[in-house]
Amino acid sequence: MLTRRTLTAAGAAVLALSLSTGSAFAASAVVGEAAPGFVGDTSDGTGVSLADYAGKTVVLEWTNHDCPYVKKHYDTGNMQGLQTAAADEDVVWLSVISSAPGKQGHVSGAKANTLTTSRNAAPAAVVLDESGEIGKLYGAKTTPHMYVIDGEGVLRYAGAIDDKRSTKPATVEGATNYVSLALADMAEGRDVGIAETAPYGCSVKY
Amino acid sequence: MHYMILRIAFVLSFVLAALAPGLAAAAGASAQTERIKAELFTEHKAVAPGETVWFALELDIIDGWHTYWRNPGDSGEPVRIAWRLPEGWSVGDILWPTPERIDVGPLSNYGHHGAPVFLVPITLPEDAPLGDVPVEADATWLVCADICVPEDASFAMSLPVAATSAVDEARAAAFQAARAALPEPAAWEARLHGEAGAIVLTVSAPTIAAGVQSGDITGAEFFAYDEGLVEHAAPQAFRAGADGISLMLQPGFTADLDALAASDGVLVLARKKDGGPVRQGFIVSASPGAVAGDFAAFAPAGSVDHAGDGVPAAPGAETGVVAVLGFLAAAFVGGLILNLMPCVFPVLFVKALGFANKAHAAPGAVRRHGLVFTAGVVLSFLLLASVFLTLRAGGAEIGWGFQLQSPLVVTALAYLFFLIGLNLVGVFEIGGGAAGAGQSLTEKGGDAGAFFTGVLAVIAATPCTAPFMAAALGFALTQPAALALGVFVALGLGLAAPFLALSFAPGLLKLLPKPGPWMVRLRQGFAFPMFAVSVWLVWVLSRQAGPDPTALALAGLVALAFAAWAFGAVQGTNGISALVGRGAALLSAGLAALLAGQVMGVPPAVATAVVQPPKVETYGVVQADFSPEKLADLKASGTPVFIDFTAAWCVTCQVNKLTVLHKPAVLEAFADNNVVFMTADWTNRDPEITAILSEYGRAGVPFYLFYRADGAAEILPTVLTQSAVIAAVKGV
Repeated sequence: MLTRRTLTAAGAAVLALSLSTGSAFAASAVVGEAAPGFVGDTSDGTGVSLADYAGKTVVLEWTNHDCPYVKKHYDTGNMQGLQTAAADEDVVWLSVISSAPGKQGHVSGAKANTLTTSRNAAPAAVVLDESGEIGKLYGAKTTPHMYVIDGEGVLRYAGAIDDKRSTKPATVEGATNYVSLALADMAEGRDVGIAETAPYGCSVKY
Repeated sequence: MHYMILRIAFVLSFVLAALAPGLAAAAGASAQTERIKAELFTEHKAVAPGETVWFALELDIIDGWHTYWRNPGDSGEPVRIAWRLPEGWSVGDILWPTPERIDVGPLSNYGHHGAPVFLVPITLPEDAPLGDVPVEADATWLVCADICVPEDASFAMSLPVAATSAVDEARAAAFQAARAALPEPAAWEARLHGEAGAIVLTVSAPTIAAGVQSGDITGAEFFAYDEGLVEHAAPQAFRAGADGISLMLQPGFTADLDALAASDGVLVLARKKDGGPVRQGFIVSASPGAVAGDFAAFAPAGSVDHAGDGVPAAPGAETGVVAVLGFLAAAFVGGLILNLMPCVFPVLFVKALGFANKAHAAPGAVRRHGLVFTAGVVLSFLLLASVFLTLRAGGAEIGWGFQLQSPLVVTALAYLFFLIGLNLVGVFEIGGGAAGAGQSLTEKGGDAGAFFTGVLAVIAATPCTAPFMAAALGFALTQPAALALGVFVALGLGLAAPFLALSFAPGLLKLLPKPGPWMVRLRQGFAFPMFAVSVWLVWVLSRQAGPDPTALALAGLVALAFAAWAFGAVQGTNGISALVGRGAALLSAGLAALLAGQVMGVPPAVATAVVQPPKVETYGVVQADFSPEKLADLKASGTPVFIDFTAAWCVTCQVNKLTVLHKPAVLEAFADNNVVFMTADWTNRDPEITAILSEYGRAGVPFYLFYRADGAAEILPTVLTQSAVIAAVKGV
């Protein structure tokens, strides 16, 4: 009937609406709430599911080996130190690479394994997230961007690795490391004192 | 040969400069890195003790790369300068050029392209000794395109300290340009408050600059100094009114909506000037709270992602008064169009025909009739709008069409349209006589009759116009109450205008064919659209409340038909039979009312709504019911989602489904692009759906939203077309 045409005219006449909007990069990972579950490929080909680690503390480290901020933490041995200390405490450390194919930091499983060996890194697994699915689920913005999940599956920390937003290796020493602080708080059964910070680094190359 | 040597020399110097950035600075204070030509210089060639000298660090960046603002956004690092100065010299904060938003996939950074200049004030002590003083600075920055490179440069220069300072004329133009690129401190009152999950920033800025009204603003974006206040990548819905500007910001991780702290930042405004958009930054200090005033008149429910886009917000508004008049005029035209709605047209047309007989006889009464009718229309609109606005203001999660979310109202409307149909067919008459509504014009009851015809016109208009009204209300909600109600008065005047015109110029009726039997046939014919509307309302009821209440309502319609028939049979007669007939009519009408009451006894959320032919599945389109969590999951996983905001009582929604959304070409496009088809069913009240509608400035359905794989949202037109949906889905 008349409806469609008149509606068009009425709509145009009254409002002349031109709405164009975009959506935010809204993550479903919220500190203090259940961390979103995920399943991913790993560099060793075995695959990983967050659910497999129920009962254990899990650290997620977004990484891109060519990013200058990531380099700072690996070249100084800072990241490897954290990984080794975590493994000693039975904390599961997952390095996640969300770089899309063709973008900086995107690697094959073999290359990821080589990087682990050559850098003396000690993650429990390297998650290959080339679709960016896990990264967007967690709202990972930078490399590094760190998340700590407790044994109950609750996200307890999200943000920067430390308080020194710089690529200078000299800034590692003396920095306040938020991941270490969070893990220490959790080990003592305390609330995490600094539970959320602004991450710093290169943008994740989605 | 000569050329080759030059070329090699050039490359060599470039490599050397890149390897040892500071060395190149020895002569003056410049440095060349791989991507940036940096220069440090002062505004004065000599400066006196106790005075302040301005330093400028200019970074001339190669094309396609950028450095970062003080708040770098989602990633990156601001430019930093470490000074080595004599004892007693003090350094002020860097003045940052107005930033731009730089999108990187789903993330956003705040930074600078081109050749940004960072200004730094350095103050000398009163007792600074005269003579050449060495000044050294180490600057570090991150320069990024799709990848990032940290760079640094060291500068060494000597600054003459003299009894009197002297400006370096050679640098005057550079400083003038640098200052022009800075945001201006603005004296406007700015406030922040939390509302519906967003931060609302209101800025009192009636006059932006000489001759520029806030209504001329075509885009606005707030760059907060605090990294955690605002989600950098989220679009900032912007509105402008006579008193200033308001922005809806998505809160970042440090924002506590219930207790927002004072916050500073740069408000970047875009406006049209000489045909092109001009961007201008203003430093604002926002304190908690809201500023009263008109912040929305010029940009109805608009949203501008980037202040630099220069998207026109106001339909040619020059001043506040003109803009307001423009909206009122548009609302009037909208009201005129309502006359053509299938629910309304028969009622009013038949009414108008009644004039044909009587108009010449009693022109004064006809005019009065028209005025009273107009009052009925306008007051009904005002009442409906006030109820709606009051409920909304009281926090109720409702939208337009809320009346139709009650099964009782739907049943009552089904009865009403059925009765109108029976009346048009001639089963009974309203008023005493058989000649139709015109009969009672000169009688005492004419005023009430005319008034309620007006009320009836508005009620009858509701179901047919919910989508249209939803858009109008979505706009009205953003207005101060007075203007919102003004829009409804204008709508009402528009709806009443043709009838009013006829009553004042009955000569117009001569344009119609001569009164005769055709009028009776036409009137009877108009009964059938009424019955059709009634059937549709019963169907809505069946989706809302399920089969049993539907059966009750249908039984009620039978009782109502009996009542109408019994009433009509004895109309104009007296005596026992008339009494029996009226008594039977009354009883039967009572029974109908009782049955309608039973319908209400059923909880409204029993059943859900929407037509979903099985063929949607045969095309392999993944379907989902709307939930914010599900939507967030899908968006996070980069799955494109098409959301159909719909309701059983929404006619346009059903039309769009049949003519667009369920067409093979559209379904194939959904399937081919792995689009999840999400249905947000608003047949019954749903606060979560109301919330997302409000987020996009809508007060009702239909509404179509498409989230692309990269998370960006696209709003599709209410009057949907296949090509629009397919284009959106394919990302054309």
